[in-house]
Amino acid sequence: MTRKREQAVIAVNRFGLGARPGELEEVARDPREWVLAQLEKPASAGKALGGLPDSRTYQKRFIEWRQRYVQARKAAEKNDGKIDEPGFGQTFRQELLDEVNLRAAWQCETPSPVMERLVMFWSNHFTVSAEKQMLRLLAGSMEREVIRPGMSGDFASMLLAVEQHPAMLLYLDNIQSIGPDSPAGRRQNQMAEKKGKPKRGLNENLGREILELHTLGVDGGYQQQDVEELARGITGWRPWFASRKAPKLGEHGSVFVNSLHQPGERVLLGRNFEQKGAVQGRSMLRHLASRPETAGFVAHKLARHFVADEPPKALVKKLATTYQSHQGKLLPVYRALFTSEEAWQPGAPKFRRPDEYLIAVHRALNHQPDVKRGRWRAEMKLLGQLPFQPGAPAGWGDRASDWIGADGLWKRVWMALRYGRYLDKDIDPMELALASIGPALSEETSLAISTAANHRQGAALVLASPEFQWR
Amino acid sequence: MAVTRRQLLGAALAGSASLMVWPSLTLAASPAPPQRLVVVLLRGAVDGLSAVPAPGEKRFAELRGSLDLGAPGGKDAPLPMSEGFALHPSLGFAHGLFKQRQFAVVHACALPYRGRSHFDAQDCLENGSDKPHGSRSGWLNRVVEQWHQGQGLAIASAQPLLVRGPAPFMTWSPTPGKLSPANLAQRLAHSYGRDKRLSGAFEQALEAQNVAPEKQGGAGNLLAMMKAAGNFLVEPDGPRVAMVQDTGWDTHANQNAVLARKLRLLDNGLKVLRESLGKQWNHTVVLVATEFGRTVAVNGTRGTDHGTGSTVMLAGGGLKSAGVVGDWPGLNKLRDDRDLMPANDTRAVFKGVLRDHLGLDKKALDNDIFPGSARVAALSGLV
Repeated sequence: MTRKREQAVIAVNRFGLGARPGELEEVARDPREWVLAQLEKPASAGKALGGLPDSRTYQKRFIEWRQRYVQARKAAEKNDGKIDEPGFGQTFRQELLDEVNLRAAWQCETPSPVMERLVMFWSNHFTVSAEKQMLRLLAGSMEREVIRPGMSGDFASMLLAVEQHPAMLLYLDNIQSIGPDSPAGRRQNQMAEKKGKPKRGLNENLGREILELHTLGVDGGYQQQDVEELARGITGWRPWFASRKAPKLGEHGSVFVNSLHQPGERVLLGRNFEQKGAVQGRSMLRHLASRPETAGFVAHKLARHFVADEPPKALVKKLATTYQSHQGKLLPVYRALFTSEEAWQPGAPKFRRPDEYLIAVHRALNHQPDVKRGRWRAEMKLLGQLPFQPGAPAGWGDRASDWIGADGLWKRVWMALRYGRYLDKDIDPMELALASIGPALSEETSLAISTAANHRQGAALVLASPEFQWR
Repeated sequence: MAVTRRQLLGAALAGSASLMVWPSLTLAASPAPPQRLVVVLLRGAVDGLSAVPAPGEKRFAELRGSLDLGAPGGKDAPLPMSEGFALHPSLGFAHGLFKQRQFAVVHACALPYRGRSHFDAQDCLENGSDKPHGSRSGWLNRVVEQWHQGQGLAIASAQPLLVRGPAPFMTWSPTPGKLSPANLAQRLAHSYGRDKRLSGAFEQALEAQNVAPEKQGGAGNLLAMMKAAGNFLVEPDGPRVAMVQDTGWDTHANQNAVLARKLRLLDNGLKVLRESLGKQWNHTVVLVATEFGRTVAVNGTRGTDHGTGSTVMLAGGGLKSAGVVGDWPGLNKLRDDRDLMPANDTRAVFKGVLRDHLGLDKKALDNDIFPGSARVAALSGLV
């Protein structure tokens, strides 16, 4: 039973989002099965998140607001300088709150926390950081539309859905990319030349990040010419709002503008792509998904996220092989991960990221976040992880060294103090410790809890303890 | 029984490892140098021509319209500085420093990045290369690495790009509200003491309470942050390099009112920093920088839009220059007919301070700290 209980802690904390009261005993009956069952039959987030607008609606609302705002601004120039139209934050206040709060609430209550962790993993792998206004809306809708349904399928399909999503096309500047020899590109550049303005052309940003961050990895053996060829292959892929009359590209509000597409054949990693139109870029992406370097990169990141900062090489190899032998289907890869001996080694090698910490605090206390106001966002900001805003396309760091810092720890202690009062009065803080940390609870922490000044402080000690910071 | 926090901390950690708040510094063979460097990032793009107006320019009043605060010298008017230039009336303390030759400005500074995205420009300002995402570490981190001086300090809850990288940087930021976790943390000292991976950071956090106790103000309060930075920098084994950041400088509307308040905060921030640095102020250089400038002309909402050249302000007892230094492009020709023309590379200013104040060599500055910047010569004579 002790072994089973240790495994339950690993299942619930390392692979999930932290134990809820009584959950460890339940999971201890069959920890492995508890994990695998979630892969087969995940709980649906539909009810929790289904009411949120889709990407097309967000784009529509955004451009409508922007038109009103620009007009109001023009009008303001004529009179007193006061703009008679609310700004972005005020206009979309409810949507912005909902995107962060409803997701947090679902993360705290989901009965399939392992699946939710996979959502968080892939969302971070395909980072869209909300530095541009519209992305504060679209980052959330992208996660709902292509990550949640895509991560149980095959990698190539998810990759295609992500790269064709308006959020990614906007975030990594494909919206600005123009095939220099495309009809529209030539026309625009002739005009620019006449007026003495700088010419526009290819923007490599998305092409580069697809290779470096989404598929092959930085050591994946690609060259600068591959970056450029991929960027050329996806010219004309744009968010719907930028070219509203163009034919549909993906399912979620993006279009393909053929007159911006660089004509001709592409060569990527030594392979020719003769296709025309949007098919060309898609074929290039499919090829990238099939490469062994992509298998290795995805395998390494998964193992690093779920097992250890420096994951066992044998495990990474096993996952990469599984990826390849199943043509990039992801469920078999997850299964290989969660049934491997390496993943179940005792100890708690991974430091909880701030979001994992705050969610675990809520789950341990069986407390749901306030979805009406901006508390979750404010607390995550204080912990150093502003929702949907990692600030760079590489996403949030996934090693302990990315997160361990004096201020980060101090803010967790502060957060524990704030949340200690939510522990049910009938539950002893020591019970909370055993139900969340389990057998890893140290003598020192037990002593601290048992000499706590009061119930609230006792609960806070559990949540602030070093044991609670690891998974 | 009155017990100070330091005594409590000592008691809590007695018997375990000795208190090493700045482990890498304590282990350094030579004593820590006296020089201090504080980098203040003002995010949102500061209007350099408001902070440091150029009323000596013929077209200044005409171009600036309602943003012009008038001729220097009068009541609530800009404070006279170098010939042709003045300081915003909110910068009274800085003006006093200027008179003591402890405040200087390099005007019309810009990064090689010429776009107008805050995000990309801030990325450049922090990564130190010539393009967005050009480096995944920050130039200030590389400064600490090249200077071989233990660890730096970021007044922030998580490391901003500027300080990310191989060299260790401690983080500290004000905690909001009335709850103080100090007591709770004391009770966990033994638990953290046995966690080898966390004990160092936890001890730092505890010790930081001696240096910068809670209740100095809410999160994001620039005064609290500047004061804390000074407190850490005067610790004998403390950091020698610190960064502070502030937001809210993106003045698209009602700029005069917003900047009067923001610049006063910055001015007070410099004042509390000098106070908390005490004698060490004489060994300190403060660099105040922003990602880009703003349009010269006023827009329709009494503000300005994203532009190009802006100011880098320098303060500290370690300065050898005063007033406006470096090149000045004038206002006769504007970039794209709207922006202050860039005349100085922002990195040249940074390089000048790093070379002459910290003693970093040209090779490190050209290749490591600001990669590929050999053609950008360090600005001489600042320090």
